[in-house]
Amino acid sequence: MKRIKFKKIKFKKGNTKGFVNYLLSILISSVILALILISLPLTERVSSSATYDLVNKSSMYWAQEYILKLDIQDQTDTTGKINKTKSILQSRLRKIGVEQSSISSYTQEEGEYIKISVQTTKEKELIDSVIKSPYIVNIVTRKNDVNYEDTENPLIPYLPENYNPTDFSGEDFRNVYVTKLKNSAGEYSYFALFKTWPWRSDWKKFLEEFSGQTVGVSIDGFVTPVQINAQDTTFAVSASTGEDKYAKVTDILYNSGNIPLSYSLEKEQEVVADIAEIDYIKLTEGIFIAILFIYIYLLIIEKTHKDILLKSGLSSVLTVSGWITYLKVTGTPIDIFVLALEVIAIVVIIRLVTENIESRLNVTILLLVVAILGVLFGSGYVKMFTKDLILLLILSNLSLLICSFYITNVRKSLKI
Amino acid sequence: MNLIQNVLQNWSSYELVMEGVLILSILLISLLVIYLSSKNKKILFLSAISLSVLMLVILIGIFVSNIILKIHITEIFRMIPILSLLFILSNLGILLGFYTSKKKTKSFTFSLVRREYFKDSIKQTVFLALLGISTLLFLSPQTEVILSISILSSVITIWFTYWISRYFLK
Repeated sequence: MKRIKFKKIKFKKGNTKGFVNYLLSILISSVILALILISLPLTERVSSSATYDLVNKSSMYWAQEYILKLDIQDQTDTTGKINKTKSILQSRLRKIGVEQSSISSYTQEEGEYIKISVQTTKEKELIDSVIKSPYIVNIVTRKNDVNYEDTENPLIPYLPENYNPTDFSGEDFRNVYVTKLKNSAGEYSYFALFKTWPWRSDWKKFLEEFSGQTVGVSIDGFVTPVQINAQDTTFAVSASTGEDKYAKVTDILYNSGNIPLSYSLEKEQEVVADIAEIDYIKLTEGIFIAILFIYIYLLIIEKTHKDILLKSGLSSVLTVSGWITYLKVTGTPIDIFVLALEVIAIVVIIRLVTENIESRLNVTILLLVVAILGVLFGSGYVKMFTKDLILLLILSNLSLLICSFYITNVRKSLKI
Repeated sequence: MNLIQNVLQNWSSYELVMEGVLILSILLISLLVIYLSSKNKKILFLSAISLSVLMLVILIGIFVSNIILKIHITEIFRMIPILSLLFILSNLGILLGFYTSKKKTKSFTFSLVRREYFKDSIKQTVFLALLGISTLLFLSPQTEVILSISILSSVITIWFTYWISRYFLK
């Protein structure tokens, strides 16, 4: 039988790297164009298939003033106690993420008062919980002569007069850990686990003494019965909520400190919110025009190399449009004036770093130090700004790398 | 209520401590990073003086705005130290970057570092001024005041740092 021979097909060695770079340049061009279009104002009206709305926090703000009357029974160190109460209330407001708050104290008609002014976008119910409740915690034990099973008086187990005080209060616990545990019905709900210091033998003795029995946790005139587990010595109090946001509030109330003075709400009134209003459309158009104007001016005066201007200009546009696109697509609410300051800061940083590429690492590290410490110790607008700055620094460094690659490849393709 | 009145009359020890910890930790950790990068005490002292002057200029700026220009200082003005620190630390970072990249070269002298720092400071000043002016039309008055105080404080501190560097960078 005759053998059929096929001709060998020889493949020529192609420039795959160049081809991949070419494809990547096209992809980057599309991404840059898409980011700019999405970040521009009013583009949410261009397409009906998806909306790109920037969520402006201006309409979400509310402002309230609370007047608390302090119950001063013990006259020793009144100033210190008032100061501690103010500190704890401020700590609670910071932890919950209130944008603006101020707390002042004053004396009126032999009474001591604390005035709290709050301006925020957080839920009012949550803010009311952290302000209106002193959350003074005391551990109590049942009285022997009280019938807690009396069906005619169902409130008996919850009233503090039906309990004996103990030496244990909120100050004796280093931390109260709020977490989800299985309840008696087998479902998960939030419990507060009281944790004391390892060397506190008196607490261990207390738990052993009342092992298998029911004691109580008295908080602001209401007692929550707690059964001490006979098998282990965990002390878990029901947080009476299954929702994450209320569990967070309970966590804040337990762990912000122990208020030394009881107080009651004397008055609360709504006030007009003071917002640094900026028109978002005017801002976005203004920023792009400002960047364009500055770079054209720098080009005309010819003090900076054109390559550096092109790289820093393109990186600024990519970073700013990338950031605004991220905010729009994720629906992250933002204060427009904070956005303005973020954009201005990052444009300045990109310009400096592009001009002095050998300093990029030093500048980035120093600014990250500011941003991280701002997130850890800052509050309100400072915390929001520095949190966004961390993302912006990462985005700007990525933009610089992408723009370097892009400009080099476009130049090669166009043979400039 | 005016922020200055609020700080002087109402701030609790918690607020004072947290604000103090924030600013001090930024200053100290930045100086630590500068020293670890440069391993040079002259640059460390120069940076320390620069950051101290910045804080002083910011305080003066806020007081002048409140007392002479009668501008109502709100809680938002707490952004000024952070913005100014960003501008100054990027300026110091450029000085540091140039120094670390050139210190091991044969022709290295501190006068080279000063000359380069002068050029970079001019570019940064021009850029900040242009940015401040071009944003005048579309920012709210309050935001513009915050930006102006931050830019002015940074520019004054940059040029003070340049002036004092002739005594340190020899």
